[in-house]
Amino acid sequence: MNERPTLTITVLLFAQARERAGTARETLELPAGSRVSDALGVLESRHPELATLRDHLAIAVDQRLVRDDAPLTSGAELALLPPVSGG
Amino acid sequence: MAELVRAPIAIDRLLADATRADCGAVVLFLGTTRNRHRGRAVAGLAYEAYEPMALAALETLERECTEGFEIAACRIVHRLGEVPLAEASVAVVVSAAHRAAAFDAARWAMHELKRRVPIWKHERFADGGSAWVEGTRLE
Repeated sequence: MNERPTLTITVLLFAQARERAGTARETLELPAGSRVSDALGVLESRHPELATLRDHLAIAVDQRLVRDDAPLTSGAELALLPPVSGG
Repeated sequence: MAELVRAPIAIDRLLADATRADCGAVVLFLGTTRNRHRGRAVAGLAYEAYEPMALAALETLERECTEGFEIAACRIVHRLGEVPLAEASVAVVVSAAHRAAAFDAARWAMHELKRRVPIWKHERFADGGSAWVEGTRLE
């Protein structure tokens, strides 16, 4: 019996995203071929409080800003970045 | 070389490093923590960052600043964690042969920092509430 292939990513949550989800770091196992939008969907199902933040978030994969349709690979680090306010 | 620090920014050292025989101007900008936000009294502030990405973004800013203006050097230091009121949360130091480029470069670097670096400011209010400062979406 073949198990469906999966990929595992680490999710980092900052500022409002971290507070709403109640965690700064999470591991997700997703079907192979998953994209950023799939990961966000799983996160929002675990943490519904994140949904209203979605339109305000920038997403980085391995420290590069990406679009929702960017593909994910195993070992990737996906970061949820609310609007920034340094200075 | 940009830095993220969790202690008071060493301003004297930054200025000493920035003062050079080939430069007639040093501009130091300090962003300091303020006790009011939109009329509401602020009791304390803290900064959080996606540290490796923020450091890389600050170093990119330093490089672009040095390439884009007639300056010799640009250094940026941002403080993280709790920052007491009336202390520096960020320092931008520019060395240049002449003052006009140094002022322009420091202003540009701060403007870009506020919209390009994954750092977040959290304010606690004297009346008990707290909030993340409304920011700019990274692009």
